[in-house]
Amino acid sequence: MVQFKISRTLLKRHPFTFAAVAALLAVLALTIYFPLSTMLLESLRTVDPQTGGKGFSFVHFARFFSLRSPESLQALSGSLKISLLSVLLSALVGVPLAILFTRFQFPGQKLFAVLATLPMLLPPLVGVIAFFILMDETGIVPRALQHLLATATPPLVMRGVPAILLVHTYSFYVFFYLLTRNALAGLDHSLEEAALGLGAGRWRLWFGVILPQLRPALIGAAMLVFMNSMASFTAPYLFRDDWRFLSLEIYNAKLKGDLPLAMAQSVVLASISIMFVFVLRWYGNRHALGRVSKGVAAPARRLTGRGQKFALTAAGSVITLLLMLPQLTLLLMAFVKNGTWTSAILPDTFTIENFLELFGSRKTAEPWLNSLWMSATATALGTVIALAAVLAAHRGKRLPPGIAGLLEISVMLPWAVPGTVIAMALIVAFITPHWFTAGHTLVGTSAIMVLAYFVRHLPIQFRATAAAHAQLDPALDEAAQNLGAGGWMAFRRVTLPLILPGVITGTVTAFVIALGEFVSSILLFTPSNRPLSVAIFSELRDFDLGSVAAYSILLAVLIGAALALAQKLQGQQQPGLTA
Amino acid sequence: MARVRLAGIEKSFGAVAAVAELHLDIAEGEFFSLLGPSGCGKTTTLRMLAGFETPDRGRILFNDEEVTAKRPNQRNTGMVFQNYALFPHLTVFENVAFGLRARKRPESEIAAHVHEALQLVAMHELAQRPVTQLSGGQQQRVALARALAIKPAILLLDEPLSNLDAKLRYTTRSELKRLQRRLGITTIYVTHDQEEALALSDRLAILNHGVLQQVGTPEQIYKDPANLFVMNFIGATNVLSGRVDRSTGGGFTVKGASWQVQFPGAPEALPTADEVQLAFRPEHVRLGEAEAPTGEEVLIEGQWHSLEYAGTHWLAQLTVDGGLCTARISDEVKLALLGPQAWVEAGRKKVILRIPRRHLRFFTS
Repeated sequence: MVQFKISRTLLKRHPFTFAAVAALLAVLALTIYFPLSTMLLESLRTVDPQTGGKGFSFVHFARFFSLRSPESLQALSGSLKISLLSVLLSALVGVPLAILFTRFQFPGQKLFAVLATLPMLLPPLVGVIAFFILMDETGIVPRALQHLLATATPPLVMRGVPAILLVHTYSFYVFFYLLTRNALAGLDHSLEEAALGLGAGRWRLWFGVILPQLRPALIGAAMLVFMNSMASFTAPYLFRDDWRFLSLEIYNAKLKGDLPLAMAQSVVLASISIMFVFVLRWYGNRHALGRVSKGVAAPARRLTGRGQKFALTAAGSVITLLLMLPQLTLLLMAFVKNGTWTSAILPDTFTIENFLELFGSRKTAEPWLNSLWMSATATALGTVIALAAVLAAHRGKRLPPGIAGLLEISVMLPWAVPGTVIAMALIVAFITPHWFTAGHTLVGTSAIMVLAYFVRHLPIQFRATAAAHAQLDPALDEAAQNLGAGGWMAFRRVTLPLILPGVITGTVTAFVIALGEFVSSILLFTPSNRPLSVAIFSELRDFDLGSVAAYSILLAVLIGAALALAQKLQGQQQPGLTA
Repeated sequence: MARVRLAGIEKSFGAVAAVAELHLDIAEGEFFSLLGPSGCGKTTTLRMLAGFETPDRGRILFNDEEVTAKRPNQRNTGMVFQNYALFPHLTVFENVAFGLRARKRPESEIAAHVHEALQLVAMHELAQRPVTQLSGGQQQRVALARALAIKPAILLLDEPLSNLDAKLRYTTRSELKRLQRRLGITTIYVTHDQEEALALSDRLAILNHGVLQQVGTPEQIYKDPANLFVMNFIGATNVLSGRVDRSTGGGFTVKGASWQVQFPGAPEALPTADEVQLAFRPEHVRLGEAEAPTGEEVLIEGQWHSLEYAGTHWLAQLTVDGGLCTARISDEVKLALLGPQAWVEAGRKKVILRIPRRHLRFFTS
């Protein structure tokens, strides 16, 4: 009754807000809740083979957990194992690097600290491909070693689980690195001085004082790596192994036409991920270590010993070089003619043919065009929805209770759901026509690709927009209204110009990530709308490594440019006047 | 210019009553302050006047016209926010022009009005500056010009001086007062600073926990506080607890543990409760040795506790009934009582507090 009354006053006094919220909830219901609930429903639906009668049961989940055909269970355990190992390895790389690059001062340290974030510049597919070119049987490293050591078979070939772990560690240690770095920068140095003053030694200082304060960051990073590893599709797909993985098993079940099993597997994978997000949030809320004191972070320790300085600079250079190896490989490969570099350690002829070819023919230009328009459409839609969600959540107190929270959770939900699962959910939801698709079946059209890109990247856009909006002083909007501006003018002349850098950042980031999207695309594309990532992948199948590298380099450059633009806009953002 | 009437407005946030049945009448051209500690409901009241909050009950009238349900942009109030809320992406000129653009005035009129408003606050030379490059005091003046440029019916000021340093606050205060007098605009001023409220206001209202405590001129409120809260909030106050003894024929006696005050006859302020608070201000206390009481003063015995030098006077802390009272005494009195020394040993020396009866207030809590 109370809710009803509030909605009525809302409708009467703020018809614009009311309409926006209603439209927003409808869009989110149709694009997020409808597919996910259809997936859940389909995983429970059974059809009697004799009578054709339909019913509901846990029969597909029973198949999942059956010990007689243990593929699903093996996949679950494979995913869990690889994720735990990825967490461990990422922590072992990321945390020491963060400490090394923030707590010590030596020549090159600042540059290394920035370069250590390089793996972010590589879309997952491109990263995997770079490692493939580097480490596979015909890869550069094994081949070079074979030449040098004159062995019969190439040594150090990475395939299967080790290769997957290598890729995961490379891509995901950045979470540990960045979170640890931020946490270290937020530490109050006087606590350490107090500990030293009380007689603590170096060991006790680290294990008794510093590491406990890093715990929230470490646990947060661990959860992120775990979730990303569980969702990882590209690496297991390319470095197939005798281990099974859940994301891959879903794909295989779909290829075999066993949709119900694929649904059950998707539900299990999604549940694990969503559960992790909730645990992460709960933990974050509970253990946000309050800072007792305000203080400044410890200054980086300037190393004075020549040997120490040299050792650290050398170590930093080697590490950074290793981190840049995938990019460098791609860069080199991009200028090599397809198929000419088969036995030599380094290629002897270089060409720019690969780049010219990218746009030279209809066949190679088409994936670019497909990806560009589909990503642009999806991100444009995402921009509008993210803006609407942020503004609606902001007007939270005028909304019926709970609506603001529901909006936020709905928009962020896709972040917790692996791309494979989102694609599967969209497939089962839109394999049949609906009134709101104007009677069309979306599976097999470009619309479903756009939808997948939109749903997958909406959280990125929402976050960037929400972060910009959170910095906005609410009094500015009130000042505009007080001066006589209506809601629309206040939005257009005050709110929008001030949050625009954040909105653009989110849009651009989502756009470039959508350009390289592979996980959902591989399940949803048709020959007529083959996107960039799938094109790169089929070039890889044909071993046209030069073309693959050229594609990848261009994509990485685009992403780098976008992130640089985003960074610049962040710097420009006016946080309002501090009076 | 407008009269403002608040007719029994109420507002709660959840279970918390922010403003409880508030009735106020504010005259045309009046400088009216809402004063109280934080959380007293003064800002909520101002926000209801501006239209950012809707009262749960009651009505708001500007010049007999009801505006309770009107949206903020239809009320023609000019508000200066505590943090000024200047639009950081616009210049000084565009900030001040914002309200006029919202009213779709022709460009020539906008330029003239903006110039006029900026001249009022002596900011016309900086019109093309981005507001981010202004000092705090300059920002404050631009915020004021922006509120005045729309020629509002009512000027609403939400602690506009609280972000300025002490010296600037003092000069801005008198400028604000002069400007308000000159324009004759009805002004409602929210503050928690009693000195500011006393200095600026024609009348003020004291609020506590959303409840109106007293309305009056600064002098009325200082000299004749309606209750102990008002007396405590405005200026310094000494409070002694006592019991009323009505057994003395005709008058009554108020007794503390170590003192008693007799009242012949029944004054109009005869407390009905047995427990009362006796309150008086430090500047009304005279100190002396034991002397015979005159009819005009009451005498209370205390002990010296400590002494503080305050430049123009001394503050003497005295123990009465285990609690502390403060007396404000001159150099001469201090010299006569304690000699040249600038300190006093606690609890050793007796002293008599002499308070004129007309400055004594009784409150029941």
